[in-house]
Amino acid sequence: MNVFYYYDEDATDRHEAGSAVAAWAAARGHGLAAERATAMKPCLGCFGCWLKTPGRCVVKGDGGEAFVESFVGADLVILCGATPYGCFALPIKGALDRVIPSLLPYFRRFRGEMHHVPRYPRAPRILSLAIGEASGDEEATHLELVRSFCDNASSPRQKRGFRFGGDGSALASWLDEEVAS
Amino acid sequence: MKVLLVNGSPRRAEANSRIVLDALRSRLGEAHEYRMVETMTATGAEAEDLDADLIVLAFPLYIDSLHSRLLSWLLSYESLRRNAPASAVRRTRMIAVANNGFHEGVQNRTALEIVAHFCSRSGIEWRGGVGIGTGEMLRNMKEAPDDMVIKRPVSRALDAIASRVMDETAPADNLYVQHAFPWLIYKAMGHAGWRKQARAHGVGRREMLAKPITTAQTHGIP
Repeated sequence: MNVFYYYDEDATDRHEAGSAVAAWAAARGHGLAAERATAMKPCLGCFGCWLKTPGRCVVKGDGGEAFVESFVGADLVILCGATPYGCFALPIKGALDRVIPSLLPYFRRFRGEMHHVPRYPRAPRILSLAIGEASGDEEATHLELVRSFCDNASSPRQKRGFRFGGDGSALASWLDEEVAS
Repeated sequence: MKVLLVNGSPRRAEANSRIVLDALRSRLGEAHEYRMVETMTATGAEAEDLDADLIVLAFPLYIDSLHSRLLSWLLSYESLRRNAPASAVRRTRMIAVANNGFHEGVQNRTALEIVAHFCSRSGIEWRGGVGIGTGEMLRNMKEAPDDMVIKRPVSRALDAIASRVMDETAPADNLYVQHAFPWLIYKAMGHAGWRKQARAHGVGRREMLAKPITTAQTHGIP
């Protein structure tokens, strides 16, 4: 399995979480690519990736296209970072705004709601590995957000929220639980 | 009353969110002092943004939440407000309207929760929001009468959120609505619209389904 670990900033706890993910992946024979989110140009909302250059963002010259390639090519995407207001960390959110080329503009009913049709036949599993402080309400919102994102990406839904507090074995258990679900 | 209108759409003047802001402004009336912020071009919140009795936010659903430029503006606003001298911080209320291109208005739920959490952290009074589905119809319905059957659910929700702004007793919950338009017809019209727009760019039906990324192209993943 190819694991893509994408984290929001260079900080000790992100690297500790990354090391725990690396140990988990190595112990199970998974390939791992780790990358820190960098500031990207914002999505323009132009729909050019659906209508002008299907599957490719029209914004060039930053890491947007490389992010989509890593996202689409992975079996498991782990988004590691803060969760301000229950949302994704800003650099991660900027990158996620740019994954729209991985979808088609067309609609379908999926899990009871209207969603876009995926462009590719296989969707990665997506997990949010939260770090830092959050209120109980923000925690609940974030899990709902990740699950909704999974629905839109036609991915398996994240089973439960996990907030890394430095315990690598708890992180490994959570990953095993999610991957097995 | 000083009202700060915040457009959280990257499409700025062309956005459905601008239509929503105009509709709310017409309901609140012209007796107020209005100012507009475009989060796509703003480098961050500014001191004068704190000088508002009411913030009216309209935005499109983006990956089930807020566009990154809007999130960035909210984060800077919270920081600015927290660090401002007490004399510069006034009582501020906030309402928000999210819209999405899917059919169901309820798909905006998590996005509105995120805005409510922003209010909680920033010391702003959250007065509730509206989540609108069938958002692409806002433009088509712009000139239609508010009581037209198709438009009425959206019009009534905007009436409700505008009227509760100054009503301390009104609930601050969220309303989820969509135009009274059948799911299947909305889907079919959406598909036809996408194909027509792609054709205008010289892109045919088959080309729209292109899969330019192969696994071999992924970088750094063995």
